[in-house]
Amino acid sequence: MKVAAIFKAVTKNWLRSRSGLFFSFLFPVIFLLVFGSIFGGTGNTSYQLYVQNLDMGSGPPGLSQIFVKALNSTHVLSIKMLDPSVNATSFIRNTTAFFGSEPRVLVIPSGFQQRLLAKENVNLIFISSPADQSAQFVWGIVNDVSFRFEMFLQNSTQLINVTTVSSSYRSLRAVDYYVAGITAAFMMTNGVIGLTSVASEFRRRGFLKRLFSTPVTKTDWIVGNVLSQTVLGILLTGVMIALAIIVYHSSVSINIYTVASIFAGAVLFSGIGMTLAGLVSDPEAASGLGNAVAFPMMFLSGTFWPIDIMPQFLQSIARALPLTYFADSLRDSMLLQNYGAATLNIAITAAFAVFFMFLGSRLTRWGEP
Amino acid sequence: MMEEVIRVRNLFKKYGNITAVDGISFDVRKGEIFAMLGPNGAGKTTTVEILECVRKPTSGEISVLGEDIGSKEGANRIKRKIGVLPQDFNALGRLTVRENLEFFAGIYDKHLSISELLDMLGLQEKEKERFDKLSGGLQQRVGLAAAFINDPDLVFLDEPTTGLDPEIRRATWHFIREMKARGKTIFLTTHYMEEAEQLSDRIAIIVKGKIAALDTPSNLISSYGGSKSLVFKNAGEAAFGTLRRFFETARMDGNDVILPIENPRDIQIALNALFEMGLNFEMEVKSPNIEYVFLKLTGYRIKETGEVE
Repeated sequence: MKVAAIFKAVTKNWLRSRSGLFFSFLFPVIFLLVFGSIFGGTGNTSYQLYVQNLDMGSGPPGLSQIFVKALNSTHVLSIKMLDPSVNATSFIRNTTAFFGSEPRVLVIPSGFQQRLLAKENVNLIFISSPADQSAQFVWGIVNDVSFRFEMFLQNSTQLINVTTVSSSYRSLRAVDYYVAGITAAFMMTNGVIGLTSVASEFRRRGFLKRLFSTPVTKTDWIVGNVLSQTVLGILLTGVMIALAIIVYHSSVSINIYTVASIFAGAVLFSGIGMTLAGLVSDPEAASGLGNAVAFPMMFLSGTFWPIDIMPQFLQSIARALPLTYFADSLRDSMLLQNYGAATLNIAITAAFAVFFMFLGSRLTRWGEP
Repeated sequence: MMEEVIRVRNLFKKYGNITAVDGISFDVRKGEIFAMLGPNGAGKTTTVEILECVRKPTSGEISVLGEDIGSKEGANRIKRKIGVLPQDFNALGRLTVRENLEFFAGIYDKHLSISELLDMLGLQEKEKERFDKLSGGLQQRVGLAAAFINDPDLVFLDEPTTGLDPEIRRATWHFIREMKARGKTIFLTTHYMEEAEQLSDRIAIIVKGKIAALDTPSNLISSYGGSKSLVFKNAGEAAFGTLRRFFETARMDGNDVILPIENPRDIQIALNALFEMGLNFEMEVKSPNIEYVFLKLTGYRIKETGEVE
C-alpha cells in the first residue's frame, strides 16, 4: 500500500529528528511541568504572611492570639510571627528575597483586645511591597477574617453564605486545564510549523520530484502525512495524560471523542501546514510563515488561559481561530466529559479542517511546471 | 523494424520566452542504451523529465511504453513501469539505506529483492546507515538501486555519474551494462563523451534544445569524426613548421603536432620530411572519437563540469 509506505517513512523520519522530537514531545512536557507547577498543579497553594503582634501582655488567651489562630485556620495563609521589637518596614526591605516574593507583614497594634472589648475602632496595619501581586488577595483574606471575628465577638452570625458548586461532577484543577490546552497547542505547532518546513524541505531537496515520477498520487501523499500527524497527536496526548496522572494525580482520560477530536485536529493542522507550504517555496520563508501563524494562534486560543479573561476584541479574534474549537473539544472530551459540547466543537474543528485541507491540496503542486 | 519504447515527435518546451527544447524528434528502441549527450542547459533534463511525466511539454507527440504521456491514466501506467534516477538524488535523510529502499519498494505493486540490489551495488555493508550520513557517491548508488527497485522496463538515468570519481564511475557503468543484459531499456543523459561512447548503443547529440546528430557511436565517428591522425609527441614548433609545408591540415595541440591522415601515402611523406630534418619523435596513431565528433558538430568542447568550453 502506497499510503502505508508513506505513513511509515515520514513518521520514522520525523521521530528520528532531534528537533522534531524536542518540539513534538519534550517541549510540551516542559510546558506542562512548568505551568502545572506554577499555577497550583498540586492544589495547596498558600501565601506567606508575617504577623507582628504588639498586643501581647494582656493575659492568656488574648484576643490578638485568637485572631492569629483564626487567620491560620483559613489554610490559605501560612503565618509566621515577627518579633515585636523589629521594625516591619525595614524588615521587608532587608529581606527582599533573591528567589520568590517579598514578605508582607500584618501589624496588630497594642491595645487590640482592650479596644475591641470597649467597642472602639481598631486599626490593623498591612505592609506590603508595591511589586507584590498577591498582596491584594492576602489583604482580602485578612479583611474577611477580621469581619467574621468581629461578628463572632458581637455574638452575631453571618446570614448570607456562599456555597461553591462545580458545574462538572469532577473536580477540575489548573493542571487538567493545561493538559488539554498544551496538547492542542503543540499539535497545532507540529502541523503548522513542523509540516510546513518539512514539506518545503522535501521540495527543495528534490525528494518530492522523485516521488512525482512514481505511482504515488497527491492524495496518497496527503493522506500518508495526515495519518502520520494523527498518530503523532495521539502519542503526544498519551504522553501528556500519563505525565498529568503520574506527576499531578490528574483525572483526565482519553475516550473515543478525544480520538475523534485529535483526528479532526490532525487533518486541520496538516491542512494549514500544506496551505502555508504551498504559498511559499523557500523552506526558510515557510518556517517563518509557520511561526508567524502559529504563535499568535497559540496564545489567543484559550490554550493557556481562559478566553474570558482576555479583552473583548481579542475574544472576537479567538472565536475566529480554529485552535479555540480544537482545544475546547479536547477539554470537553478529556476533562468535562461533556459529549454534547465536544461533538459541536469537533464538528466546528472538522469544518475548518475540510476548508484548509481543500485549500492545502489545491496549493500543493504535484509535478513541475 | 525494432520495437519502439519511446517515440517523440516535434517536442517543444518553452518557459516564457525561453525555449528549452526546440522541436526534437527521436525514437528509443527496446533493450538499448540510449544516451543524450550535451552540455549543461542543452535541454537534456527537461526532455527526460517530460518523458518521466514529471513535467508537461508545451507541444509535441510523445508516447512512452505505448502510452500517451498527455493522458492522466497513461501517465499513471507509465509511472508504474519506469525507473528514475534524478540528477541530485535525495531520499529521507534520517532513514537507513534499507529503510529508504523499503519505502520505494512499498510504492509499487511488485519489486525486486532489496538484498540482491544492495549486493549488486556493493551497498550491503551500508544498509543500516542513515542516508544523510553517506557520501555523495554512495547516495547516488542508493538512487540507482531505487531506480531499479520496481523491476522497470525502462529506466531514466539523468547524469548518473556526474561528480563521481573514475573508479565508482566504472563500477556504475558495469551495473548499467548488467541491467541492459537483463533486458532493460536505458535512457541516460550525460555530458561525459567517454560515458556516451563506452556505454551507449546510440547517441543523440543535443545542443541548444536541438538534436545535432543521432546514430551509433561508430556511425557518428565515421560520418563526422574524419580520418585517423598521427600524433607526434612533444614535437614542437620546428616539426609543425616542417609538416605545414606539406599539409595544410597539420595542427598543434599543446606541444604535440597532429596530422590527420587522409591518404596512406601521407604517412610516408610526413616521416620522410621529418627524417630529413633530423627530427625524431615518439609517435602514435589516434582514432577519432566522440569528442572529435562533438567538436566538429558544435565547434566547442565540454568541460568536466558540463559547461561549454
